[in-house]
Amino acid sequence: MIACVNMPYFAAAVERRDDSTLAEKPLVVGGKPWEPRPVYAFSQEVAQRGVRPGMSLRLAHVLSPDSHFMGAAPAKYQATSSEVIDTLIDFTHLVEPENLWQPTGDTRQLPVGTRSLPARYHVDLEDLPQREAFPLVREIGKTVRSYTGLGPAIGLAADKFTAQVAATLTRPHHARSVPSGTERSFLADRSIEFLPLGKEPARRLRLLGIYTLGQLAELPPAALHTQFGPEIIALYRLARGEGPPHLQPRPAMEPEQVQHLFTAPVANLLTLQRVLERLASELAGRLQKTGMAARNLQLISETEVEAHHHTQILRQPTADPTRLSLVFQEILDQFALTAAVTAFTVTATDLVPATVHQLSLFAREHTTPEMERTLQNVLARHTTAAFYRPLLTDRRHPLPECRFQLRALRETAPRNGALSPIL
Amino acid sequence: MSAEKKRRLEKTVAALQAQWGIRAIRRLQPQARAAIPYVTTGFPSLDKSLSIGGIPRGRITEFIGVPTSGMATLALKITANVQAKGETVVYLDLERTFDPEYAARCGVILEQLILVHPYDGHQAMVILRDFVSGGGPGVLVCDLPLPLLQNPRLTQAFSSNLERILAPLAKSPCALLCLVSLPAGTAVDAASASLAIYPLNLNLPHYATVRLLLQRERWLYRRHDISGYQAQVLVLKNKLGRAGQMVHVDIDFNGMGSAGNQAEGGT
Repeated sequence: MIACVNMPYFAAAVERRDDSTLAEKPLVVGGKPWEPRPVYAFSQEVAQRGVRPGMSLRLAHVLSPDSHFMGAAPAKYQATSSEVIDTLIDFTHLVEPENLWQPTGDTRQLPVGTRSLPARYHVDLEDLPQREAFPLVREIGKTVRSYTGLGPAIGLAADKFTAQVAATLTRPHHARSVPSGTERSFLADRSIEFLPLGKEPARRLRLLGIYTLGQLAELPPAALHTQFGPEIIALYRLARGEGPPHLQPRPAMEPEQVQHLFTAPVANLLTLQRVLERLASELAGRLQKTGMAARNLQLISETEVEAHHHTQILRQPTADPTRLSLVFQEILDQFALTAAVTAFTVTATDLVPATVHQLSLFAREHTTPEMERTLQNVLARHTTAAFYRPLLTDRRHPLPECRFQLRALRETAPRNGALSPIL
Repeated sequence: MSAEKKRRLEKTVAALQAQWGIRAIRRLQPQARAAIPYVTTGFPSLDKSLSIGGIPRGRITEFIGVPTSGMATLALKITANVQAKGETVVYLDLERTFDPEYAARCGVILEQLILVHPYDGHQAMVILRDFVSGGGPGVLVCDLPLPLLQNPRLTQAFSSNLERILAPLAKSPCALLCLVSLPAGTAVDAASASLAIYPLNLNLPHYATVRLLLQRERWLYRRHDISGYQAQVLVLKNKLGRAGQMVHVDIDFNGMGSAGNQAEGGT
């Protein structure tokens, strides 16, 4: 199942979210009416008066003179879009964003679904049954609304195109599900303008009396191929509700690489381990900066004689310096080094977004009320015993007993019921 | 059974039920077994060998072994798994040998751990009972050192306390882990663990639902340094499943552990 999260008039919605005084006003984003610029975005009321993306601000003012004209803030829209993606990634990493709110190229022949300059995100729910997918989709909608303050319209269907159409036809703050097997009948009455057709094919289809997706789906594909060429066959399949049931995998990210060249060949194992630790730390820093985690780690050890290569695939992607360091140490142990090392190169590939763990999202209290009560009772009763919470202070201290500290717990007043540590 | 015999049996049963109540005698019917709450050990093959998926909650689990046999590591792994669910763990450290740094390497969240250093063995028993009765912690680890176990009066006191905590423990979500240290350097096997070396007055084996015997098999080397050891875990007793399972686990001094892929059948 694929869910399409659609936010029509995205830029205007973001502006209205940030300034509540704009809520009731028709809004044109892009600049003041006298500026020689095209319209960047607009609200629904303005669209109903004939304003289109790419139109000059002066013409937009003629069509909608009482509108509020304001400058665009693409960075703000991009940040909000990133927030939405972050929210969706908490549910699944199979998220495909489409930044349709940025008008680019020829904006005169946009498909119906994109004329409102929406922010659109496709979420692949894989093989989740529809009865379970729909409650999840509603939950996604609620979460997006609570985190971003925007009202998404969500369409759920077995293929991407049907989900898109369903989302476009749904009001904000609502979700619509197209039952499996009924995609074709759902699409039958919809306009062919939902398809990403060019200007000329659309005109020719209209001349042939084909206005709906159902009419297009009824035509013999061989005849369509003859008339319009091979490109139309993919659109014909979309019109029949036979679009791809899964999202295309995202292209792989550029690998991160860190290298250390020794000024002189080194054979001391401890030195090599320290250098690897430093490289792991640097690599982890780079990964954390980009919000990625590595699933595949490679270590190349160049000696005076030869070069050793080894790749380790991790069970869980990580950007933790300690974990990376441990893996590199393990790889180093596997090399039968017979000569001094001249260079180390560590590479992190197969990068995936480092998703937030559920535990940190819904972090619980360290102690439950029951535990607090029990502990209070025990502390009050056994005054001669010592109760501690251990705390690591210096992991690298040469004396093991100096690496941690025991923080004593003492009984507190019963009315606040909280434990206070004393050092 | 003939019809006459069946009729007479039913008549007798009816008479007994009339005299002693309907529950005095009844037919045995297969009942669906309720799922027993458990805590995973962090070693999948060991979890599998324990039948229910891990260490049972509301019961006593006993770890037996000589020092450096993996008892503490196993207890710390269980602690880390419980803490991942947001629960608090209490560690009764009678010997004062708890190493926070190693615990952290095993994945233990130190902020969610309460370390108790009792004044003496008697107080330890009472604290243990109070924590169990309160029902707060997810796991309660009681590290029983050798001197305590060699003192007949303390073992007697511990045994009498065990009787008292069984009922509140069964109602609580707490898994009580008792680490029983045997004298170092002794050859330990299933028979000696239950007979020769085991403290005489300690009736922990009687009350424990699960008893695990841990033995260090061999050291693991990385280059020329010892990096850990392989331990053998034998399920001596399991009231909730089959006993006699044997599992090998690799324990690294870095806190990493991996379940051995060899699990042997019962004996």
